[in-house]
Amino acid sequence: MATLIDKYGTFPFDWKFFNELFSFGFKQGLNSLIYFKEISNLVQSSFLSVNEIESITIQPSEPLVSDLPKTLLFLELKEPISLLPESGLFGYFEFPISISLVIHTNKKSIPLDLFNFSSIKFALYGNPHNGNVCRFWKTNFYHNHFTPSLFKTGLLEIEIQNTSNSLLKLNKLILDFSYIQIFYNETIAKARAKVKIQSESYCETEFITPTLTQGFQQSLDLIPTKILSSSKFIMLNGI
Amino acid sequence: MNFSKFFTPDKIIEVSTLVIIFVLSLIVINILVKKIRYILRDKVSYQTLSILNKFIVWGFIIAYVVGVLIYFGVKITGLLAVGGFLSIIIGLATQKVVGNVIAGLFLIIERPIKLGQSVRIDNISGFVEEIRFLSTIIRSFEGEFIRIPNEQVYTSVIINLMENVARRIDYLIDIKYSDNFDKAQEIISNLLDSEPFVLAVPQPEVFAEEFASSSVRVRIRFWSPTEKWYSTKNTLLQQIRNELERNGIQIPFPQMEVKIHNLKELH
Repeated sequence: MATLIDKYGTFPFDWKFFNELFSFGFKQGLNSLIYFKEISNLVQSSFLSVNEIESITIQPSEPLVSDLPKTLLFLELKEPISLLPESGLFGYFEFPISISLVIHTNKKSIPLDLFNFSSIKFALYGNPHNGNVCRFWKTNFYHNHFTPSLFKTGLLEIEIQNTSNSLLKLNKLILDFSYIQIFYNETIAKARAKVKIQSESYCETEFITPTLTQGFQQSLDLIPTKILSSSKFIMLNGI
Repeated sequence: MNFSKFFTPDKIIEVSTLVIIFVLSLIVINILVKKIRYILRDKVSYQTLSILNKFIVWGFIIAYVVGVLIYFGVKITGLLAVGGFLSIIIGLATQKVVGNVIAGLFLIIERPIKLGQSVRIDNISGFVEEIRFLSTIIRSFEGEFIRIPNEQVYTSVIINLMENVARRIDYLIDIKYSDNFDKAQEIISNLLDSEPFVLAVPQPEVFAEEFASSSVRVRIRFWSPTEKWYSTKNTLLQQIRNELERNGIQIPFPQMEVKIHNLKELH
């Protein structure tokens, strides 16, 4: 018997979990459990220092890539947004997510593994010396709420404000996802960000708490919250 | 010299006490240093921590020695004068050594190289293992231990292979004139698009650079995060070759056709 993972959420303990993208499970070792996973016919396993798991949670998480753990997200717009002087806009973007597997023992909840099912690509913002390598994603701008792809992408509510006196064209956004708060229900992962554009070479971006609706809960953060640092990212190399 | 006069039982106890205090203090200082290292491990670089540790330990040792000298009634002002005179003599005699110490300090302040980075200094390439007071230790890519005096490091052209966040990779490959160039360009572009560590921005470029005598020379140019530069550079070229070959596009090798019109004239 195995449990089908077809939504985000908490599942009672089983020896095997699966869906079309991946499968994972546990085996009983001599003194502890053995965790194994299979993605694209590649099987990996490891010993766990626990011998009992009560339940597991599959949740959307920060778009971290374990091979290259960068914490900036580069969202390139498929079509630019023209912003009139001193105007604002509200809409939605798509953003990549990773999936984390959290195990719950009788003592605590521990993130055990991280999966990436959205395509992985990186981009450079700024120049090679002072710039940043960011997780890259191309997105449309949506006026209306849409359903993102389960296990692959999330919905980003975005508030954009042009505080300058000129017409500006927005082509890209850089956001620091160390501060992202992802909320999810069974099928949707969402986050919220606000963007304040002061000129073509000065733009502040920041993740904020999304509008809370019934049935949504917050994902466990994988990146510890930084103390005494600003959650804002200042885009100085163009928008 | 009458040693028995100096080494009275009282003096022996006094000296032993000072030695025990010194050893115990050194143990405490080492525990303290380890604690500081642990607390600051995420906030301060390994290099700065190492220097801070050395300053704490050596600062304590010097302060202790000075304290002991004062305790035994040695006049420090006189010692400083002698020390000053001695340092001039030593300084003149060991200009190179002093130069290396000062260069070491500048290396620490300016930080053109950091621990763990791969660098090229003159013709020496490798990873920076340690920046000491007098010299910098490099572990070559072949695993050799190389010691370079700090003065030489500071005055040399340093190529730091890891200081920038991204680096460019260039390939130059040949395809046959009879093969479809557009198709080859598309295959290579798709491959670059699908590779996670080929940066999407700056955009990769694939273009015909030269019409050579027996092939079209294709330039492939893209950027990769510095941490993944080496592995991407090595694996992608092989993938390009395999993908081109799978699609029937051959990478030619130089061929020369020799036509002899009159064989008899050669004999």
